[in-house]
Amino acid sequence: MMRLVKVEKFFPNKQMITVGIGDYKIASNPKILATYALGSCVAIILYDRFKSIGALIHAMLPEPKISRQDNPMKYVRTSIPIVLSELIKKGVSKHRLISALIGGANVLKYASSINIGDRNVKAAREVLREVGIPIVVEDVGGTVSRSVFFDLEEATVFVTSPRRKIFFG
Amino acid sequence: MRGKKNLVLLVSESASKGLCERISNSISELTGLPIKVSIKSRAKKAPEEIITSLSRNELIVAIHSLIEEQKTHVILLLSVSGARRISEILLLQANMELSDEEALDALREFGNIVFGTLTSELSRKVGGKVTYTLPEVVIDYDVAIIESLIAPLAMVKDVIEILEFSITSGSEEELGFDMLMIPGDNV
Repeated sequence: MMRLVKVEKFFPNKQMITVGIGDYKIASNPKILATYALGSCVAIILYDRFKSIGALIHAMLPEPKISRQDNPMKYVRTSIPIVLSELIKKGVSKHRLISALIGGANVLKYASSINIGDRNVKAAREVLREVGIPIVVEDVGGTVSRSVFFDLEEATVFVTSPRRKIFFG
Repeated sequence: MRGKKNLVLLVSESASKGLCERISNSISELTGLPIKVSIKSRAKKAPEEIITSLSRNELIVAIHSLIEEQKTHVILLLSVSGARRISEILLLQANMELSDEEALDALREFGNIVFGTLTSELSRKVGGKVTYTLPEVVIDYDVAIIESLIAPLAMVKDVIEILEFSITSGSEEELGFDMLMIPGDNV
C-alpha cells in the first residue's frame, strides 16, 4: 500500500529527483521523487506497488482554457492522462496503480475569490476517478504550503510544511 | 476601465517617483532607518516565468493586501531575519514584549503604514477613494506565496503584468525586502 507521514524536516537517504511546476518525473525504486512548496498547486503521485515504479506530477491549474495551446503538464486535467500513458509504455498496468493527492492550499486569504487550490483538488479527484485510479493517500487544503517527498522503496509520502511562528518562539 | 487608468497613472515615471518617496519617508520615520524605495522592474511575463523569476525556494514573510478599487494585489516580501528586525524595532519603540504574536501584530502595522501611504497617494492622484484590505501576514516559502497570487490570474491570461519595487536601507543593516504590485484587472 502507500502511506502518508508528516515530518518537520525530511532527510533523503537515497537519490532524489526534483519535479518543478508544470512538470512530471517517472522513477523506479530506489529513488525519491520530490516537489517543493506547493501552495494552490497539487502534486499527484501515481504508483505501481508491484513494480515499484511511480510518477509525480506538479500541476498548477485545474484545466486549460479552450483557446490555449501550451504546456499540458501545467494542468491537472491534461497531465494525468499523459503520465498514465507514459507509465503504461514502461510496462505498468493501469489496474495496479494507486495514487496520492497533496496540496491545494489557500495560502493567501485575499489571493482569489475563485479558490484555485480547491479547484485543483476537485479536478484531480475527478480525473483520477475517470481513469479508475484510487486515491489512497490525501493531504489537501489548509493554509500552509507543502513539500512532498515520495520514497518509492518504502511507498511512503513524506510531507513537510513551514512553521507559522518562527520569530521569537 | 477605471482600474486600468489608475494603474497607468501609478506606474508613470513622475507618479512612481512621488509614490516611492512617500513610502520611503513613511518607513524611514517608522523604523528610524534610512530607507530608499524604487521601482526595480515593470514586466509582462508568462505566469510560470514570473513564479520562477521571483522565487528562490526560501522561507519568507509576506505582508499582503488588496487595493480594492483597483483590484490590485500589493505584497511586501521580507526575509525572515529582516521581518524579525523590523518587528523588533517597532516593538521596542512601543516598549512591548518580543513574542511571535506581538511580532505578527507589528508586521501588520508595518503593512498598514506602507499600504496606507500607497493608497493615500493613489487617492490623491485619482481624486477618489482608494481603500485596502487589512494586511495579512503569512510565513511560507516564496514560491508558494507567489504561485498563490499568480495562479488565479493564469486561469484567464497568458501574460501577467507585475511591478517590482526594491526597498534598500542606506545603513549597514540588511533588512532585505521587496514589494510587488500585481494588478488583478489587467488580466
